[in-house]
Amino acid sequence: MSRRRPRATLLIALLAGGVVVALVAVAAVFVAPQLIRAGAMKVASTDTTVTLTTAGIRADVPAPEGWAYVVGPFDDHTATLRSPDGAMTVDVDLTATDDAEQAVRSVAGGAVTPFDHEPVGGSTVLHAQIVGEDAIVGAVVSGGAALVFTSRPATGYDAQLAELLAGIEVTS
Amino acid sequence: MRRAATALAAVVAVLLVSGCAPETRSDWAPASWHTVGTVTTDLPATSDADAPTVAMRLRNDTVGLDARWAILPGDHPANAVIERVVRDAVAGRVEATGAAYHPEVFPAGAGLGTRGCAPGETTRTASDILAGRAGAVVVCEITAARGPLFAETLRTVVGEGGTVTSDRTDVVYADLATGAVGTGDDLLTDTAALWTTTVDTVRRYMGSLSLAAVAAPDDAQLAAFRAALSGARFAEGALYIPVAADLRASELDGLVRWQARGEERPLHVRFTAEEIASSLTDLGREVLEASGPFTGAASAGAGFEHMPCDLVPCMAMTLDDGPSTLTPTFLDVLRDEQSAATFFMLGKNAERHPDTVARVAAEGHEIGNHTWDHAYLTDLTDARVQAELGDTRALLQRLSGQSIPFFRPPGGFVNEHVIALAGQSAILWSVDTRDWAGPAAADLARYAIDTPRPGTIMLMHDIQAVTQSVFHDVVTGLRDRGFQLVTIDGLFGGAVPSGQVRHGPIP
Repeated sequence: MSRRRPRATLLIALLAGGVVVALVAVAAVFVAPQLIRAGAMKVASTDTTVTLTTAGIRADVPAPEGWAYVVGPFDDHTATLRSPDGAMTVDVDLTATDDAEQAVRSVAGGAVTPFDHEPVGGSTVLHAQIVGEDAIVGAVVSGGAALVFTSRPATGYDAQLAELLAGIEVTS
Repeated sequence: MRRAATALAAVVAVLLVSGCAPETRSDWAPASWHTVGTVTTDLPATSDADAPTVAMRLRNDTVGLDARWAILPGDHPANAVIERVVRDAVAGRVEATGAAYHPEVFPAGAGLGTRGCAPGETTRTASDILAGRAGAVVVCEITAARGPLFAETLRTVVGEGGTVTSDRTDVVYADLATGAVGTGDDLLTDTAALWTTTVDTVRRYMGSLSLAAVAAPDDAQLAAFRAALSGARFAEGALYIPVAADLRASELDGLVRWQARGEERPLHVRFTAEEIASSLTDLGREVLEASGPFTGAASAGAGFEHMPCDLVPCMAMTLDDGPSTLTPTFLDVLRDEQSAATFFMLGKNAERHPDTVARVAAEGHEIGNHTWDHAYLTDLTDARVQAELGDTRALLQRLSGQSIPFFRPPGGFVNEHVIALAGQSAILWSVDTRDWAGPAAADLARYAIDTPRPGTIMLMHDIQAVTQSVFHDVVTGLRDRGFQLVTIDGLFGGAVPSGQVRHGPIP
């Protein structure tokens, strides 16, 4: 003999299911890419060059021996690099733009200090601090191509970032 | 239910994948900067550096200049280098204003008796040094006085309308043992290499992330850098190199902190002795290694010091009819005020006060012949003229050890025949204080202070009590107006004209 579920119980079950689905959706959008990226990271066994491309532009980013890196995973123009001690993370995003500062600002997600501009070879490196954060944002710019980067932390790792930037080549 | 289970499975899968994240290495360390030296705006205090010097002061409103500096006693070669800094400031103002330069004095109360260097003067802000004045201000401090080493830092700040337009520091080094003299740029061997090091250190301080090699300097950059190096100074075992406000380098131009740097407190790059040791010249090593109490001697007397009377307003104080029991008081004032005078002595008084004659000479003052007993030479026979002057000259030479190069005819009575008999210049005066006529002390002092102009030869007497009573006020009052009191010989730069001389060169 079957018993009918009370109507209230069914409503509660539906609501709970909805919450779970919502949480999973949020995780899928915001957390999963990070986790997947972390999980998909490879460690460079030798000095490696990571190549990013989009819209006919290209950037070669060095991943020195011992560094972990991942491209994408859902595109060919972003990458994340992590230092061997796991403390420093550099996110890069190759984009075609004529306004590199604006591109950097949009990535920073907050106020940044005024930009320094430094010529490095045929490129220009512009960089700034994110206000209130221990992070450096900037871009390696060549023609209409900009490799936008966010590096954390700044303290104690700025020289390492400089070393990394020195090895980047952007071609438009 | 099936959907929920699927979502849950996805989350678990993601977590499993993320669990494959690379392990970290504890034996790895991030790169660090390899700069040499550090950037600072704070210079060590130099209050322990003290040396006997001759204090100098110059103000000139026509071209816009106020300078304080100090020179070493005894006409040391370093003095020319120190003086060059002041002359460069004068030349800069002449060029800026288009006005000709002539030494100037000012009304009583001008405050120009405050002279020489003072601790902390060169490390004040540029605006503080300029104090709202237009033109150039030179200040100084003794930044080293140990063993045989003397170092004087001179800072020249130029401004217009209250705004600082240039700011330069020069440090003059003198090794009293070897006679070596130089400025900060003479301490270092390879200026071009130091440029690279300095720019690299400064760009790092300014937040640079570039590892690109610093470009070799062009001629203009190197010249500007050498000029800045003139202000390099050792303190507390480290070398501080000033970063010139007008330094230009492509490595710095795009840095926000560099663009926004103030000129109030110049940046310095500090190199430790170890960092800079291989780049030092012989003078640099002497400066670094000097230690112990300062071995330089105090001035033997103001009359021994060379005064640049084309630069500072000079006048000659002359004191007649002594020596007397009052003369030592006059000498004390002159010593304390770093001033020189010329004493026209009577033979009969010199005979009574031989020790005073010797002291006058020992302190560098000049001695002139004022006859044996104040005879009016134009009334005498030729033989008597020659006896009055000859006997006195012989005595004064014997007592002082000086040559007695000229004479002053008592009462001013002189003619070409007397001058020919004397075979010397007759030194008269352009300002007669008439202190022998019984003036009130205040009137005498006011007249003696207010009347002289550059080049004046002023007549007073070191036998008059009223003169003795005001002499300190007169000397300090004249210095307060900007005067440098020199001997007759000093007034003419060692070339006293022949014939009758009433006034020094009018600059």
